[in-house]
Amino acid sequence: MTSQTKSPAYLGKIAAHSTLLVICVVAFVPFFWMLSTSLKTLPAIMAKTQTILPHPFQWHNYLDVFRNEKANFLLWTRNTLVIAVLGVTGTTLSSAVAAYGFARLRFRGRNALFIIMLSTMMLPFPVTMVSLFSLFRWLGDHTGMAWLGTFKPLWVPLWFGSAFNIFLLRQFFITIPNELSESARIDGCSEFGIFWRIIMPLSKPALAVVALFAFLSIWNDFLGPLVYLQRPEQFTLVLGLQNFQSKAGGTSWHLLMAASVLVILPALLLFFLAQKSFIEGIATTGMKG
Amino acid sequence: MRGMAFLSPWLIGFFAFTLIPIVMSLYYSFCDYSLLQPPLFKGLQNYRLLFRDPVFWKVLINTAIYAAMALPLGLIAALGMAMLLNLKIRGQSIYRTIIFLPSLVPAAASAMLWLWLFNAKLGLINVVLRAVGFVNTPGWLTDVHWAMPALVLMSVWGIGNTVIIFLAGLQDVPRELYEAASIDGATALRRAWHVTLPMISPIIFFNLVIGIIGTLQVFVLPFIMTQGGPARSTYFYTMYLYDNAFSYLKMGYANAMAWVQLLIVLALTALAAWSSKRWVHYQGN
Amino acid sequence: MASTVAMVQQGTFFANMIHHDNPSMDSDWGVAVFPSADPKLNDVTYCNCDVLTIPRGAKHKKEAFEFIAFVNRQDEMEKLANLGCKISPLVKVTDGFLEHHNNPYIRVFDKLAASPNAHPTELVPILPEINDELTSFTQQLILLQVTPEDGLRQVQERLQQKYDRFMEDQRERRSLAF
Repeated sequence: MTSQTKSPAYLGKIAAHSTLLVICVVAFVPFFWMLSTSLKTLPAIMAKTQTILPHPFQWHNYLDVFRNEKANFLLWTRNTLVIAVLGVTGTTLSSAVAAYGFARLRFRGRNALFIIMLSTMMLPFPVTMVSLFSLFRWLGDHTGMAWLGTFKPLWVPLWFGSAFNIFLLRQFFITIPNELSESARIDGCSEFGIFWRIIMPLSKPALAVVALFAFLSIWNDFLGPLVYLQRPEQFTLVLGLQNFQSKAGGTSWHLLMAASVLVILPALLLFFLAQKSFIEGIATTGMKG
Repeated sequence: MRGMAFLSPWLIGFFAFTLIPIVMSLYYSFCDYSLLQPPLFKGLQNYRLLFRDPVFWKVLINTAIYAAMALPLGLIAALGMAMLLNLKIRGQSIYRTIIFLPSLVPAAASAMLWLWLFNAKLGLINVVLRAVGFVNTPGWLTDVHWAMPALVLMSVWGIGNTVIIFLAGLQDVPRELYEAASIDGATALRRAWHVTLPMISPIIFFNLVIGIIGTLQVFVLPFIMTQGGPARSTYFYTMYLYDNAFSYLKMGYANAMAWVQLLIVLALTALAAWSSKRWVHYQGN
Repeated sequence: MASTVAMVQQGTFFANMIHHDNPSMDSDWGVAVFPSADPKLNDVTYCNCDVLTIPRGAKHKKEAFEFIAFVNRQDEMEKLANLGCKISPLVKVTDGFLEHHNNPYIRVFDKLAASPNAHPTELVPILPEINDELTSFTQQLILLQVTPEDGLRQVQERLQQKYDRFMEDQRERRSLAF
């Protein structure tokens, strides 16, 4: 009796494990191949028969990425980091302020505004892309402050909150017990004081998740830099990656893969450092119901 | 008043970087506008030209085909993986991590990687196919019939986000429901169909809407990998819009395209919402 | 350069690319003028040249002008053209410039450039559209999806419409301005 009920369950487990294993291999092989290619010599890549592991290991491919004449990898890293630091700081702080308003204060029109804010997440970027471009151009012509061809279009808007982050933080703020704010209010604490000295310190994990997501979305953004940045000296890393591609054929795949590894690495590192908050953050996004 | 004070940063940004650009975009869509000269009002001319433009229909159909393949494939694959990850077996956190990793890769880097994997002569995919005996391996991205399926296939690689959202939903399904169903003698398949799917239908709906918005805007991968070729077989809506705006400097035409895109997104979302009354079950009502 | 193509449509600079990427081919190639669709015309070609400009608001106008004058000196221009495997754009060339040129077929190009049927590329306001339409046409042609006649006719029709539309808009703008 026991063996009869046990064996199908056992078989089921084996089936589940093997399916998952196959999926994981398929998911992982591209990473492996990228890494392997990035350490090969060009003749080894072009050879009729390819080896699984590089032979010999050509570590200086990674140095060549930095020494490449077509690419200024260090400068691009710096550019990306400048935009990321300004953008992450801005969006985290300003989204928190707005989220506090949505989560902890009652006023007329709050729910309507909240729905408007959520619906901006649905807006396809192309709808605002062209007008934003001409808006930044106009600002440049009429304020004497250049916008196009600078990093400003990529980070200044982030200082005004973004819907996704406001939503995420609001979900967190409403879980903080109201008594905390009430007692502070009785003690004569200003509303901003409550936000800054009570709610913010309690929300460090949620703020970290928002900062993490914001960093990744800036790090990964391609279309924004493509539209607003004009000179190669201003490129971000993902935009610059294209310079390793040769339009006339004969791409140096080992260098392109080494550069790609370097672009992916920070995202992977961040993930492994903060795996738990990552997964929880993404899970929350599906919970709006 | 205090509430508004807290909302003011977002409100200012909303007006400056969303609402005003949307209104401007609507106005430009009725204009001839090249950035170099002031906009010239032309009424519905852009829209009329758009509907007579064979390339517009081509990119619209391409995008629809891509969405019709990538969206269901992605949702089903993600849901299947999430169900596997929800089983009580060892090693789940490792499986989950590996399945999630690809979605961290920046689209541009992902494009480079798959450009290499799909390379007709030296790419890993064809090397493996030839090794197991295939003689006429497709040129993938350079083949007019295979370029689109290739893009769809690689889109499945990056669905880790969707898997995690599904998984969170599955973990919220109360245990008692399964136990009750088991006692009633329901098989695993029937439990999945009658308990799991209805319980997570709000999340399926959420992922569907996000997926519609995302696939209709597909840009980075084909922009880098195929430039729309061969023979415009992977030329998508947002790419043509981008070319009109920044390559041909037809800002009015591009904005008309953007508004058509917005209306399509709204219509499809409304359709999904309307149909969801039949298949989405919210707990408690 | 992988020695797999018999014929390509290319410019003068290609000599440099062959020499740089596959020197073993150096003595193994030749140049011929592209035939014309109209049998009555020969030596039909497009000519392009790079133009040095001093942008408005430049900080060092005088130095920039001197640099341009320097580049346009006959000896410097010939040095530059020789290194680029190109012809000199100047009317007069030194004796021996063509004889000792890096590009063994430079006379073919020189004759072509001097031909009465050599034209500059037209200044067309819709050039990016022309490029994209022709790229798409070439790909369709390679895939045998269209015949050259049909494909070119379609391209011509579409581009003509775009061009007419553009000119009409410009006329309307002018009429509004006055």
